[in-house]
Amino acid sequence: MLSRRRVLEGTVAISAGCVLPGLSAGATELAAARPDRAVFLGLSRALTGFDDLNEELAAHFMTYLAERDPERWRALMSRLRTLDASGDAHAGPATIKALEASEDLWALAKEITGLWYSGWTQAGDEVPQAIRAEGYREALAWRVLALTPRGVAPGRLWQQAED
Amino acid sequence: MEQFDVVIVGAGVAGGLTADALAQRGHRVLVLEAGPDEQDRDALREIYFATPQKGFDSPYRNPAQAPKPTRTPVNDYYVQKGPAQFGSTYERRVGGTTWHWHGLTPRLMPADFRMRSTYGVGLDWPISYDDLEPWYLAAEHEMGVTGDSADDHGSPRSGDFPYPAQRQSALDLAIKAALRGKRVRDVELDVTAHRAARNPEICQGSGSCMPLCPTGAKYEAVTHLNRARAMGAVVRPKSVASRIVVTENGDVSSILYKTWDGEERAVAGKVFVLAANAMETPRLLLLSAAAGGPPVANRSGQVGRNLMDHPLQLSFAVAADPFTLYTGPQSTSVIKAFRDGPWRRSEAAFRIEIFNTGGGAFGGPDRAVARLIDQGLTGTALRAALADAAGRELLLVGEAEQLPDPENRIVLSASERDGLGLPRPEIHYAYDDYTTRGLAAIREVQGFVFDQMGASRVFHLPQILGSGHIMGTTRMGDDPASSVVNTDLQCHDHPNLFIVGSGVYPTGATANPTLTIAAFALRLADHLHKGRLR
Ligand SMILES: Cc1cc2nc3c(=O)[nH]c(=O)nc-3n(C[C@H](O)[C@H](O)[C@H](O)COP(=O)(O)OP(=O)(O)OC[C@H]3O[C@@H](n4cnc5c(N)ncnc54)[C@H](O)[C@@H]3O)c2cc1C
Ligand code: SF4
Repeated sequence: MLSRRRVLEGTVAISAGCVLPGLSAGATELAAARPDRAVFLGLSRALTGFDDLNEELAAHFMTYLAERDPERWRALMSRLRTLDASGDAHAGPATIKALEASEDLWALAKEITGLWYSGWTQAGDEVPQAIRAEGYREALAWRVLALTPRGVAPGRLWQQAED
Repeated sequence: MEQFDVVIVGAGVAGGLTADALAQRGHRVLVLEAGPDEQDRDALREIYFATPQKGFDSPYRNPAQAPKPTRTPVNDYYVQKGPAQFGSTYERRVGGTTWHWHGLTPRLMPADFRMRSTYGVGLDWPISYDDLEPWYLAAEHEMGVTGDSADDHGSPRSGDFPYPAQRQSALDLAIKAALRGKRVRDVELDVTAHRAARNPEICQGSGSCMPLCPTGAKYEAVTHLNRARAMGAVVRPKSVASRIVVTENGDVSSILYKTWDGEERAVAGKVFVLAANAMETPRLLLLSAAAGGPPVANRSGQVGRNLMDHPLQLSFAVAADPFTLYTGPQSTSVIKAFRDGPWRRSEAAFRIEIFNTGGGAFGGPDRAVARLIDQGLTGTALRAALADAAGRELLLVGEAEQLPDPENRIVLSASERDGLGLPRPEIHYAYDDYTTRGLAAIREVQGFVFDQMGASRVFHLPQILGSGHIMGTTRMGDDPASSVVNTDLQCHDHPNLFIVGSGVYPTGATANPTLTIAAFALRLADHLHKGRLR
C-alpha cells in the first residue's frame, strides 16, 4: 500500500521551487502555496465532469504519475498554477483549452481522465496493483452507467431486477 | 503404499461429482489435484479487480508446477503447431475450470448422438440420448439448473428443472421482438433463456460469472469437493499425477504423482478415474507410456486425437438505441434454432449467445472510454457520450460444431517441459470445411440479427477464438480398435481404469459440454458403486 502522506509531501516538495513568470508576486505566492492535491483535483474535476472525486484515489494517482515521470508532472503542475493563479480549485474550460495546446501535457491530461474512468490506462501495467483494484472499484465509468462494477453484487436479485 | 478404494485424478466438476457420489456411498476416495486449493473468494476478486486488461482467467495464478494455458494474455503453455491456434483454456486448481466457467448447461439433442446415421457425417455415439436422460436430470438437480420445464429445447425431459428459467435481459427481449416471425437461411429464429447453473434465489447479476461469482450463485465444483471432504474423501492439492502404472494383466496398480517440491509418491487403489479434462487426461496417458512403460489405454492409437472445440465467431455492432449493458449474467439468452437441422449434412450446426456485457465482456467499458478520451472529450460531454456509447455495444457469440478429425490432436512436446520437467502438450489443429462453412453461416445469421435490430457498424472478429470446450481426445466407442473407453467409461485396455470428462465425446455437437460431463460422472459413480466397488 502507498502512504498517502508520502504522496503529498513528495509532490509538494517537487513543485515548491517553481516560480512562474508573468504572475504578480501575491498570486504566485498563493498559487505556489496551494497544495498539488487541490490543483490536481481541480483539473480532474474539469476533465471528468465529476465534482465529488475520491481524494484518497487522487493521492494515489498523483504519486504514481509524479514518480513515473517527475519532469512531466512538474511541468503539468506549474502550467496549471499559471493558468489558475487565483487559487480557486476549479480548473475550467480555459484550462483544458490551454492544456490541449501542449501535446505533452494534453497526453498526460488524457491519461489522468483514463485513470479516473477505468482505474488503468493502456500504460496501466505500471500502475501499482493496490491502486488498480481501488481504481477499478471506483472507476467513474460505473457511475456514468449507474451500475456497481462488474464483479460487485448490486444488492438485489437479478430475477427481480428491472433493466 | 497408501491405498484407497478409488483414486481420482483431477478436482474439477468431473472429479468432484464422482468423488462426492462415491464418498456419499461410503467408499474411500482420494482426489489428486495438480493445482492449489485456494477458495478465498475475496482475495481472488482483489486480484481480478487489480488486473488491468481483464479476462476470464485473471484471478487465478499460474504456478510453474501445474501450469495452464491462459487467454489474457495468451501464453505459451501449449506448443502450438497450427495451422490454426487452439484457443481453449482451463484452470488447474481445486474446483478446476468451473471457477471461471459461464455456467450454461444445455443438454445434447437426440440427433447429436446419431450424426453418422442421421446426417452421414462424424460418427454415432455408442449410447443414445435416452440412455443419458435420467443422468441429465440428476445432474441438473446436483448443479442447480434454471429452465422452463415446459419447453424442452428439443431434448425430451423426464422431470422438472430445480429452478425456473432465469430472467431474460431487456436486450434479449428487444432482440426477440425484432426477430419475431423472421426467417433466415429458411429457419425461424427464437430467443430463449439459457439453461444455466446459476441459483436465481442468490444471483444478483453481478456480470462476472466469467471469471468469478461473488455470491456463490453460480455452480462451482468446489461445492461437491468440499462436500466429499466432509464425507471423508481426501482431496490432495499440489499433487501432479505423472504416471499410471499398469501390471501385466492390464490392471492399473498405482498412480505416481509429484508434489510441488518434486518429490515422487505412489498411491494404490481398486479403481482409478482420470478426470483431468480433455487436454490433461490424454497428456497423462501419453506421459505414462513415455516414462518407459507400455502404452496406456492406447491400443487404438486414439489417445490425444479427435481434439474438438466449439470455435467462436464474435460479431459486434452498434445498437440504434442504448440498452442497460455491463450488468446481469454475461449472457442470459440463446438463439438455438441452428443447433439441429438438415444443413448438418454439409456444415456445422451452431448456437448463438446474446451478450449483456457490451464490448468489454470481463471488465468495464474501457474501449469506449479510451476512444472517447482520445477524441478529446472531457467533462459532462464525456459523461454523456460514454453513457450513450456503452449502452449501444452489441456482442453476439456464435459457437460452431466441429467434427472429429484424427489429425487434430495433442501429443507430448519433444522439447518443451513444465516446471516439474513433464513434457508440455503440443497441439496440431485445423478447421475443416464443415466448420468453416458453419462459421460463415454464423456471420450471416449474426449480421441478420443486427440488421433486424437496426444496428449499424457490424464487425465480425476475424480471429476465431476457443470456447473452453475441449472434447474428443479419449473417445468412447464399442470397438477397442477405434476408441479408448467403452460405454461404461472403462478403458478397453485396463479393467480398473476409467475416464470421465468431455474427452470421451465421440462428436462435439453444440451443447456446452459440462452438463453432459456431470451426467457422465453421476452415471460412472453409480456404475462403480454397483459394480467394481461392491
Ligand atoms: C471461459 C470459459 C467458459 C466456459 N463456460 C462454460 C459454460 O457456460 N458451460 C459449459 O458447459 N462449459 C463451459 N466451459 C467449459 C467448462 O469449464 C469445462 O467443460 C469443465 O469445467 C470441465 O470440467 P472437468 O472437471 O472435466 O475439467 P477441469 O475443470 O478442467 O478440471 C480438471 C482438473 O484436473 C486437474 N489436473 C490436470 N492434470 C492433472 C494431473 N496430472 N494431476 C492431477 N490433477 C490434474 C486440473 O488441475 C484441474 O483442476 C467454459 C470454459 C471456459 C474456459
Ligand atoms: S451474474 Fe454474478 S451473481 Fe449471478 S451467477 Fe453470475 S457471477 Fe454469480
